[in-house]
Amino acid sequence: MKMIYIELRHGEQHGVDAGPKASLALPVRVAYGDGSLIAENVVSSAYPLALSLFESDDLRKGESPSSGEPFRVDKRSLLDATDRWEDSHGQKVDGTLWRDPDAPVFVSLVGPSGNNVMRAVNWQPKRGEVARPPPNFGESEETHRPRSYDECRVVFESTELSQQEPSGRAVHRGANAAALASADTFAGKHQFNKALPEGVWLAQWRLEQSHWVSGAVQAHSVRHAASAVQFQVDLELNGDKCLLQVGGPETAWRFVALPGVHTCRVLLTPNASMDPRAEPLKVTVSSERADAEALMVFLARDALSAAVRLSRYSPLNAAFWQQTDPVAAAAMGYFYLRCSAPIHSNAFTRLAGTFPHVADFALQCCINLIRTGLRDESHLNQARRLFHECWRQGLPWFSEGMSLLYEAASVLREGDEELYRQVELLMASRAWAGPALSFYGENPYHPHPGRIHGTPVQTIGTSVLSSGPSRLRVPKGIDAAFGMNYVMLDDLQDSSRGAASVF
Amino acid sequence: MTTIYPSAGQAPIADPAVHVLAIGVGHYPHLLDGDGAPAEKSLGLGQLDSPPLSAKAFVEWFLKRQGNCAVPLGTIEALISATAPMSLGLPGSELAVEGATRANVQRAFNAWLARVATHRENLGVLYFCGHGVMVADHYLLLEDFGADAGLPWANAFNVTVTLRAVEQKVRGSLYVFLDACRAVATDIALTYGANPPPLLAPTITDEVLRRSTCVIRATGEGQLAFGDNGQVSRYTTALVDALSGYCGVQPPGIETWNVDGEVLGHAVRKLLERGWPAVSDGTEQVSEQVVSGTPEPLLCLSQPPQVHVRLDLAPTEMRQVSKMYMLSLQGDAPREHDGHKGAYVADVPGGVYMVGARALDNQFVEYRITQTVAPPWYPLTMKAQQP
Repeated sequence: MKMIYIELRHGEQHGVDAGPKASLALPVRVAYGDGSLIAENVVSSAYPLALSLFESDDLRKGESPSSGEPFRVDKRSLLDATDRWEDSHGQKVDGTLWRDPDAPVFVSLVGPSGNNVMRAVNWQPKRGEVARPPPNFGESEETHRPRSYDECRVVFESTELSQQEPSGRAVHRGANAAALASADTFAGKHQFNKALPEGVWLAQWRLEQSHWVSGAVQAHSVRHAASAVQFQVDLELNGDKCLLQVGGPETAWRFVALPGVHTCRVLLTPNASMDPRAEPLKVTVSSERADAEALMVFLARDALSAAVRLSRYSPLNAAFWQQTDPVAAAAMGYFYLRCSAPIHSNAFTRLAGTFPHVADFALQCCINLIRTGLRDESHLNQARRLFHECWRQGLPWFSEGMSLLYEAASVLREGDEELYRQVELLMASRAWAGPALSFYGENPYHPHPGRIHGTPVQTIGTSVLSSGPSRLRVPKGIDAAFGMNYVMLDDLQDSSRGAASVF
Repeated sequence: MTTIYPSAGQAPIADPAVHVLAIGVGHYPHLLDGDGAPAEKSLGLGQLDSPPLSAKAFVEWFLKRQGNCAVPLGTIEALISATAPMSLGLPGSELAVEGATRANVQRAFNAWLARVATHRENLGVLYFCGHGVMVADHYLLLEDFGADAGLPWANAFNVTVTLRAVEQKVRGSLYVFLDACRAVATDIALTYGANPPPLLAPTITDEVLRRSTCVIRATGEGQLAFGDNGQVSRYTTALVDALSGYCGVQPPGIETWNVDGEVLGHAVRKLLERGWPAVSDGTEQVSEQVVSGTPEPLLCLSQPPQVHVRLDLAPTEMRQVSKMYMLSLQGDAPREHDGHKGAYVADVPGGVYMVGARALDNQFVEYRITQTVAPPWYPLTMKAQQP
């Protein structure tokens, strides 16, 4: 048996205690040099991972492992032997080394944005007990028998991932929601060739009594790089459902849902993407749950194998099955709806009951019901009620929810054509902001597939002003006339209650 | 519909099997420059060269490489609308292919669906190349689009809703390749009643049964897909390339290199990006995939995937005095390339390599990195620095 101990460091550099919410979890892969996989698992910043790898030498029962040449068997036989060994010893083996013992082995940390960090495994011979049985590795006589084995320790820093991309999603989270990323973490070592677009403004919309209202941007803290190519804003949500709106002369007006309950981090960077659809301003939002966010990024990128691996991370499972955290539970709900057959249990119903103000759960419950088949009138009515409840609670946090919202609207269209048309327009106005729900438009009631540019007092494209500068047309059915409060990005540091800093 | 495989007289393949329906529409008599009565609203769309050639290339790939499929090839049905008749099939048994009118497509789709639904381990493959528009759903335009002035959308179909219905009928896995534009048609978006019907409507009482669905679209929402005149489209070129040994993963405990929707979607996207330098006219194309369910491989390959490699050195004058190299950490023979011949372009097996460039006479500091050279495409421009 060979052992690989893998550690993921995240947040420690900030000198604050990394609570369970701040822990980051990412998939790791062990592979040979040609990419053929030996083992896959998840490593978390909360505790290291120990991987046990079966090898041909393990077949030599009762022999001195150091004597003679390595025991050679073909891959199929070795895989079968691994299974037999697991059965007889009652221990889980994480992978099987079927090649030459000297064949190079590599460990990769799989980043949410497809950016991996790789290490070559450098086996160190050891003699003694297996040093530290992993959490998934049962105790047995075998683990305590003095024996020789090879081990390797691999340490990854989450900042290694952020250095590969300018926006760095989950890895920019500090140890807790309020903590600022350190300058080196935030700026990374990425070289930007572009500057932030000129004249960017922000507005924060809140759902108040089922109506979207534009309020002051509740910036808890603001940081921007000295070169003014990155802006990081921590927004206070105060338990409200919030949308962030960004716009500018070069920045199409668009909304981004802010996931979470207490705070949310927004990172504004120039968009380095070559994708012709890419907006010049990239908006990345981070919730309080780095693990959930990583899961949602994997889903958004259709990296299902990584998502499947990450979904087995126990804190994420606990969030869903024990309703411990709404953001993580929502992420897991979307995972199940994407990657598994419909769930024939009341898990979604329980979540919708526990977190009645989160639109995502009513929607997930509705979709699960639809996919299991609306077998009678009561099921149909229940699905309709959930769909309307979702709509009443604002919008889902995640872009995955946008597709499901439309799926529900399509199925429940008969007799509800008006709502279907609203959702259809929202879907056609969809914008890209990673895993967060995003759409183009003038205000939350008027999503639009076209692009509006400019400031609220002077727009290019679709004219939206009807009641004077900085005020939007009041949608029908909304009693309270609302003005649009927006703040120029350049002025944000002065308006924030927290200290703005430049580095 | 035209059955391309199995050919007449050939025994049918038992399930589980792959069942392919390929549709290519280039001839639109009622759109611009067509030879029929003009449609009331042409949407600015006209005739296309590429879709018939693209559909042909896709079908021929399956005919030639069927041994790579995860389950045996069961059937291939094709419908192609071109200005000149087109034949397809195994050598010696080519058939003239029927046109992709709404009626023909409906008939072929019904037959395809019935075949795919017969076994829980069947793989259904649906390919379309032709005009498309979208609002929230994606609509695909068939040959006789615009023939009926009273029902202008009758001869298009809503593929989004169709797929939702198919997922209720099929227990196996679905691979859907849509090589069509997704430009948002605002006159549809803002008009009631302009709803192309699906080929099959979902039933609200039915459960979703399919094991997995992979939909790879040629372009993103609101964007255009491109095909150069007289050529296979960019997307289908990338798709066929990806299927031809330029993607795959070997999961733990599995002896083959498997190609599933996630792997294939990634490869197609990368291979489209590979073509960007040649199209500096703002027509860079980005494919988009949605994979759901428990992935089932479409292909199981016995060999590891290959990678298109392009190594170069900057500044370019340093090429003349350089030797570029790739050293596989698998222990394969090193690959060396004289820089004066230009960039190093080759296909290599995927894996971890030491990649670098050294000067012939100390003109620059040796560049060396160890990286995963992952399929399907690995471009690297190394930077020479003064000693």
